[in-house]
Amino acid sequence: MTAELDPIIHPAHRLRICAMLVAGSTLELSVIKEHLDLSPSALSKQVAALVDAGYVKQERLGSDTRRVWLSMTRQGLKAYKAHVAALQEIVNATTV
Amino acid sequence: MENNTQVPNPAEAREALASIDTAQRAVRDTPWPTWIYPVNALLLGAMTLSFAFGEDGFVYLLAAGAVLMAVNVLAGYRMGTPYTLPTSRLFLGLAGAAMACLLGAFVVAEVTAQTWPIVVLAVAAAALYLAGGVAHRRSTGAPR
Repeated sequence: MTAELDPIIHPAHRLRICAMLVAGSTLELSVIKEHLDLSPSALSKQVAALVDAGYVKQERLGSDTRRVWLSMTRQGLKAYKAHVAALQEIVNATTV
Repeated sequence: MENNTQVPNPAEAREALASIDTAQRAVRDTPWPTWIYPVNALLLGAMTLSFAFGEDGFVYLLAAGAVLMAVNVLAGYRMGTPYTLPTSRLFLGLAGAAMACLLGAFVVAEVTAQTWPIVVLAVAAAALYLAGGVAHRRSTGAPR
């Protein structure tokens, strides 16, 4: 196996959060919450893990400070791509 | 740092990849507000029509283009998804065709002084975008 699974991204909810951020570039936290079956505190925990790892940037833009915006960092994007490649390799290994 | 990653079996890996696709589609297919389709269609038509006004039209082109960008970025921020590309291929194709009408108007303005082809292209650009809007709405459903 050449690509490696990332322990930070591996949990299902974090993988989905990263996938959404890759698709949307910048997303409001409420959009992510809408699509994940998680309580606000559980979602905060998952996001905090990604932020602490330096994979996700969290910021408040403009005058409306109630809205939290998330985006992937370059490091996060690299880790996500490697993680997806590793998953793909696992799947491909069985189909070859 | 968590380092106890359990390597998933192929079925789990396939499921994880499927969940990525589902999550990305959910974000990309966030419904747009209804008003944005006619506004974008009108602005695209106006941008195309600006080529009928000769050199003066450049100002109209820039103004309509700036409004188009501002409206879409602001609407995107209100929705929480400012830079998301929809998944509907029909919408993307028709929006691309509308942009081709805009470019076509530029070419027509360079090769002929007649304005009617530009008017036709402007109407076509707006109509194509509106048709794309119908396809987009069908793929996303109405906003809540």
